[in-house]
Amino acid sequence: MNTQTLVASTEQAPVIDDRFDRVAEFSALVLSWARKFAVPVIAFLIFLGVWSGAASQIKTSLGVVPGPVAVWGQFLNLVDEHNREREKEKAFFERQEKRNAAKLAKDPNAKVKIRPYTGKPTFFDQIFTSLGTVASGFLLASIIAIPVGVACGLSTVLYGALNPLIQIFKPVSPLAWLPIVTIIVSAVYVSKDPMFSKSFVTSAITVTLCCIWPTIINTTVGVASLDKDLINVSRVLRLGWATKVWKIVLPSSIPMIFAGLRLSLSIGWMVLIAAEMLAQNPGLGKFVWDEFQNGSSNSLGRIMVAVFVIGLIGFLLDRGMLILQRYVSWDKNAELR
Amino acid sequence: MNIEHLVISQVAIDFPTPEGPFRALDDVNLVIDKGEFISIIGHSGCGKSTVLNIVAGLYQATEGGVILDGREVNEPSPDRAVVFQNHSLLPWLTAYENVELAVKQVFKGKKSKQEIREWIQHNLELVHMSHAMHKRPGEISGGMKQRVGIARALAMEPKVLLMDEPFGALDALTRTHMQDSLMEIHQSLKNTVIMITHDVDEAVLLSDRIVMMSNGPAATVGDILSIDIERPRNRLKLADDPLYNHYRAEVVRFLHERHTLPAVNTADDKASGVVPERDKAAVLDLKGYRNKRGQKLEKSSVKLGFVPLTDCAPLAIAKEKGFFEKHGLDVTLSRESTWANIRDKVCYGVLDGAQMLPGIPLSTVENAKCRPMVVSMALGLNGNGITISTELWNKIHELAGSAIDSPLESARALKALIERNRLENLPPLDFGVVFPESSHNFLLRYWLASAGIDPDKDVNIKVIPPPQMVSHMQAGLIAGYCVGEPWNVKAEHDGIGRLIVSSSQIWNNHPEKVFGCTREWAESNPNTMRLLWLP
Repeated sequence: MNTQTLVASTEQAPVIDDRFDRVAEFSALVLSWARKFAVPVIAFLIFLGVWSGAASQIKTSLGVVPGPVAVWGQFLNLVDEHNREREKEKAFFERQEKRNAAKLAKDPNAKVKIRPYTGKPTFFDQIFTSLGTVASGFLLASIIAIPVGVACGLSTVLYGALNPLIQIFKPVSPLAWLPIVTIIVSAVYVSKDPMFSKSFVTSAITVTLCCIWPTIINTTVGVASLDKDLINVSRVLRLGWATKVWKIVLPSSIPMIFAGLRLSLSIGWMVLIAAEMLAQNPGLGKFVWDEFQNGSSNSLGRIMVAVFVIGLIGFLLDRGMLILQRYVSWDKNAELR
Repeated sequence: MNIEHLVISQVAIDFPTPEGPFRALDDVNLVIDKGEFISIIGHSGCGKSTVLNIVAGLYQATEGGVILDGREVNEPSPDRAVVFQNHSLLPWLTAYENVELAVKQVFKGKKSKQEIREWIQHNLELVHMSHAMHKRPGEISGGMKQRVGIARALAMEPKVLLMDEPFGALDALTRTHMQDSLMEIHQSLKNTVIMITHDVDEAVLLSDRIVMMSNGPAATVGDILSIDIERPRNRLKLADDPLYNHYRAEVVRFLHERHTLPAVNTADDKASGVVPERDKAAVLDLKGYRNKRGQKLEKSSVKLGFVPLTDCAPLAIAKEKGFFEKHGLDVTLSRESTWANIRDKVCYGVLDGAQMLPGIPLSTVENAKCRPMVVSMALGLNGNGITISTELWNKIHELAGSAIDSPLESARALKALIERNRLENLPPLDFGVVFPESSHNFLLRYWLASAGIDPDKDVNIKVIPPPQMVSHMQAGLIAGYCVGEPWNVKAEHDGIGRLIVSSSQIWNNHPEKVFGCTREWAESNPNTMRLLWLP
């Protein structure tokens, strides 16, 4: 319209416009980059500042509360400890091998014993123990919760039957479940050569019991809110039960199922730390508890390292679920948060 | 009765609300032929989609039902494929997979993998979607989605294709293309289609008939318009076609009236009589039919003739039990003594119709004085008998010398008597029949001839009205007769005569009495005519 006539009448107009555009483009880019990275970084720096300022003011029985620098130092310490432990382990196995080789040279028929390394698990060992436990508990919870949720979503009768139970058990703290689970597992899980240690089973089941509920509830809601037209399609086609669930119900409720799974996983991770602390099961929780009992001047710093690591792992688990959801979901363009 | 393709009969539906049931539809009747394209049009909320959902089996009618090829349908099935308004494709499947889901479900075990693949591709080709068959619904336009929806429905090879405002969400240009495609498909596949629409042009262009729904609550079929425009139809040529514009105006007027006078939905309105006949016939298929509202009857007061015989029962009982009244028909039964009376009174319009002998309408074909008659139904089969006087019986019994057990034996005995009478120069025996063109005459003659008696020479056959038969015999005026009940039994009972042959022994299940009226009357009073069948 007007711009066109303007362009037609003055030769230089497009050049001026273009220059403006470039400036605008660049400033928009800077702005978006700033929003994306600078803002979180600045916020984090402010947090560190406040922390460090506040920490130096508080004196405890274990000394001054460590600031960011001290905690970073402890982290490096933990890495060193881990490396030392690995070297020890390596040395232990080398010694054992030499011993055994010597034994065999003397007498080829001699019985050779290979003993496992019995050193103290390091901070990083504990992380992997915890991850294994939470994965098992969460997997078990998902295997139960998704089918139950689908069934509840499809059948109002079943929903009516299970809903009160779900609502009652959902708010129960892991600290309440743990004694029950410990006693029952001790009584039931009796075997001479156990595949899993009891402590692992107890923790995993506690995780399952606490994190099963969000997945059930979200799956139920997702299935129940299935588009009526799609239900009609399946009725007109007279789809069988299995086909209906597989082709229509599950794909359409994937976003809700994953919302439930992500809630469940984060709850599971929180529960696990508490359960390990309380039950002295190996894992990050035990590490925190041990440091608390240890009472050295380094303890507070080491616990704070654990806190950061626990938080970071929780965040990464959630991202992992998001990636999984993106992989499973049919709608690759949907924005996932 | 031949089976109608699709019958929507007396359908009513209630939806529960906190204030009690809400009647959305009431008394919806429609008969649809195979291959017919029906549009249902009406204002929003008039229950168009509800009708469709009932036919689809997605809703259950509270009253009445839907009959497809003689079977009631009350659950969804692929034989009534639905094209939903918003396409309802599964967004996680490609166009091909969406159609495949339906095809695999319907043709599982009936087609090989190769055949299934070809069938899916064929159907997608039909809707011009082969180029995008591996795209998901999210990647194609609204019109394309709807095409896939139609392909999915067609691929089920449904008996009836149900479309719920299929093009409602599309832009005008796309809609035009889709309508042309649909016409083309309907032309080649000849599916039965019921389409909901609110687009007048779409309805007129595509339909064989347009069903216009009255406004709810208790919505029903307000009017049905037959679109007699030749196919294939061309939208450009039709634009200036006066007939097309007439139909269009009709639909618009109907909708406008409903819009300005939404309350006009009373019995009077329905009685204004625009529902074509065949759709009223739908009610005939229902057991326990109740016509509480007066349908438009051309003639609600009807005079019907009968002759006092046992087989006047259908008319007499219907009258006495109030069956006619129940259908809003005021019937006067006129007792007539002779069949000639019946014939003449029906001919000249004194009677609207009558119980009559099957021969009467036949005779009217040759009788120039009488208007041709038509028969709408049989009122009875069999039930005639040949009775001879006790005196004649004694004579032939004596002559035969043995028991007379069969019609042939009795006829032979009679033949012997006639021979003897002839030798003695006695006058021929007189026999009575009720009417020249009657089954009785035929039956009597057949029986006589079976023993070689010439009905025209050896005996004298007179026409005597049924009620007078017995007294004629008693008076010795006739030696025998052929008549319907109760006059045979009456003669036996009074000791006057003896029933020797029942008509079932001569021609079993012969038509006995029929309901007849002039063709003219039947054609000008079709609604009344149909109601008369009901009892």
